[in-house]
Amino acid sequence: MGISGRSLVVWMTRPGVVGTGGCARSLWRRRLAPARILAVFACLFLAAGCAGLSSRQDAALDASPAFSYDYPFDNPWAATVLGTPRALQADLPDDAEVERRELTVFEDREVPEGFWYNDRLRYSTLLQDHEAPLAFVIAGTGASDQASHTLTLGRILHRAGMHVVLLPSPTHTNFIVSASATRLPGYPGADAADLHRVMRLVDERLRRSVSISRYYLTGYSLGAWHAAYTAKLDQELGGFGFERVLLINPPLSLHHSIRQIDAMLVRGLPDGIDGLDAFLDQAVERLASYGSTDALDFQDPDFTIEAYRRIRPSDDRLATAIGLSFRLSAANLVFASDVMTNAGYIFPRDRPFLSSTPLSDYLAVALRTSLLDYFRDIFAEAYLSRQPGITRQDLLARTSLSSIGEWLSREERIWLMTNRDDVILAQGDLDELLRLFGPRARVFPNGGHMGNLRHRAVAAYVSDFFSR
Amino acid sequence: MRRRSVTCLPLILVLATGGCASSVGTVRYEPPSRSLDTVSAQAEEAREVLHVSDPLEGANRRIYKFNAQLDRYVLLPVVDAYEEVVPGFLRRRVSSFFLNLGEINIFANSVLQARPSKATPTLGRFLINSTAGLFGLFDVATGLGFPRQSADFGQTLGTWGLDTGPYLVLPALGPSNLRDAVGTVVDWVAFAFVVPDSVADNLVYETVRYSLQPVDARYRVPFRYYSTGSPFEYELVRYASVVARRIQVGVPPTVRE
Repeated sequence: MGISGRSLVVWMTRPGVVGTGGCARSLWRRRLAPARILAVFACLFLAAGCAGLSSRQDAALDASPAFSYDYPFDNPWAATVLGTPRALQADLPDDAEVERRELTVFEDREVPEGFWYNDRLRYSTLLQDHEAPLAFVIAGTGASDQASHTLTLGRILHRAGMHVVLLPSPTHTNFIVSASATRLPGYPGADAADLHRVMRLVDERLRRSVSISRYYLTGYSLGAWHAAYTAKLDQELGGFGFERVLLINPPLSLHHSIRQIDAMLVRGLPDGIDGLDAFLDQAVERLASYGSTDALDFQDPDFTIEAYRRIRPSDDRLATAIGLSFRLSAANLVFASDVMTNAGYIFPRDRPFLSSTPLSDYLAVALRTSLLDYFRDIFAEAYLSRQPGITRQDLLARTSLSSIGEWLSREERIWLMTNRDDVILAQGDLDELLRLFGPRARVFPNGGHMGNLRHRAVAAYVSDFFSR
Repeated sequence: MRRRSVTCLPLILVLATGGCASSVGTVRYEPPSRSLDTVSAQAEEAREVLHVSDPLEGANRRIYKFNAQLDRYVLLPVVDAYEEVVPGFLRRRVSSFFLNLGEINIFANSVLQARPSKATPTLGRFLINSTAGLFGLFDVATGLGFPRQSADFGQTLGTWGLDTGPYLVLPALGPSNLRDAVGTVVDWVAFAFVVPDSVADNLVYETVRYSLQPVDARYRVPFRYYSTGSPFEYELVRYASVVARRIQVGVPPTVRE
């Protein structure tokens, strides 16, 4: 469910409109372009490392390309941050037209001026020009419809002959502001209802211009967790009747995974966020000694891998990088939710939220706020008062797929794809997932959290799952 | 040409005064339940994480929003149309052409920084790309092992120890600081002096420089406002741009006590 360190790199550098990224190599010379700046910022996490990696990684990098599963990184932290080397990636042509669209979900929603750019939900489509199945893709924690993994899935499915709709995660600011009924993401039933509402609206629109034969559903990371609950809700409501559902690297329990990720954060930051600047300063020093920033292009996976080989960050640093990227997503979520519900949690209740409002102090607080704090302080408060008779323990238990385990294990159309070394799973989580899905689970031996999505064998599995 | 550069100066003054007017504010709000005092024993130090001094924040934030709107309603539609009409191959030639012209400033600043390691390859690049690369339409030099260097007058001033001054968000241009804003103006003026009058007064040249170049410049930058999805994007961009520029200028980071 956590977005990966690599997601962070891409998340911060990703062009908002597909098609303009091709010339990213050519930097705007006269001053540092903001995209480049963000790329550098993002790579600081990666570059902060110390020495101490085994030389085994080097040998692994030279693995011969064959169309079997030969993903090279056995270190799950490195896999999560680095992704897949270009030579081993599925060949996904760039020519598919990714169209960004906007949707007004609630006609009467009032959005504070500070969120003026979030007044409508943004989603993306990749359409066929003939009748085809439609696949919905739900993004992972804090990720948008055009996050790197979301787009990758879109291209895989589009190439396999489907119409594809890419949706942001219900934990993404844009979704919280424009499409969440409760504005408090994280509750499975409420998030599924929000997603289902959006899907119905999108479907209604698309049906005017394309013909759809049937429906599929998938999601990665937290989006996979959302997909499970959405499929269940859909069955209860009698909606799309998703013929196939694929859960890609889901958390078993939101609660477990948040604890895992919080623990990652402090591995390279013993003093917590207080040590963040020192961590980053050290990274800056390493980067400066590494060479000119002009040589850095973190949109190129091979380049990131090259930087990794030279800088050799420790596992602790990598874990912290992943934890930080997740913490940043959490800070965005908690703050957006706080402002939209007027909870007075981090942002003063009576202060107008404007684009000119300085937010430095609130950022400093939000970065020190775990999703567990959010859960305890505003989420539980709100949901407990809405459903008398349930306890905090009940609420926590509901964030586990085990709570719908009986249903999941019965549903032949819902499959699981994950990695044996996925870093967001706590001890015992994988076994429980395997118990729930039985023969409907495909577990790759390595890849960390989402590190292998672009690998040829993995992309082929996803593609085959929906087209067989 | 020169009148163009001069228009930037009032801009900086507007920025400076705009900031003063908006930074006054003594309204007290009901404190939120989670504040710096509740999350850290040392609230003052806790505040410093990812923090950058920004005395003109009020004005900067307004210009940030203005830039986002300029992007949304003017620049990006133009860039989209440009991509629609002009094939990728030609767009890359346009980019190469303007980047090649930019080598003039890179060379001048490399010399001013007394860095032959940057000046020599830049001179080589300009000569190769202007001839073998057909007036810069093709970047042959990079393939021959001469990657493009980075140098501008703001960087030159920084190299010689001049402090950045306050953080600034420049209209249309984005994150900068007082030193680099001045550097941008100086680079513009210097470039105008270098181009011979016979070329500068040419209608085709003027049209290309003031219409095609800005489009190309925006086209080359993949950044999209608010694509980070973070309510703290202004703060994150500010921190990242300051750090990135610090690396680019080559000034070692100041380690906080």
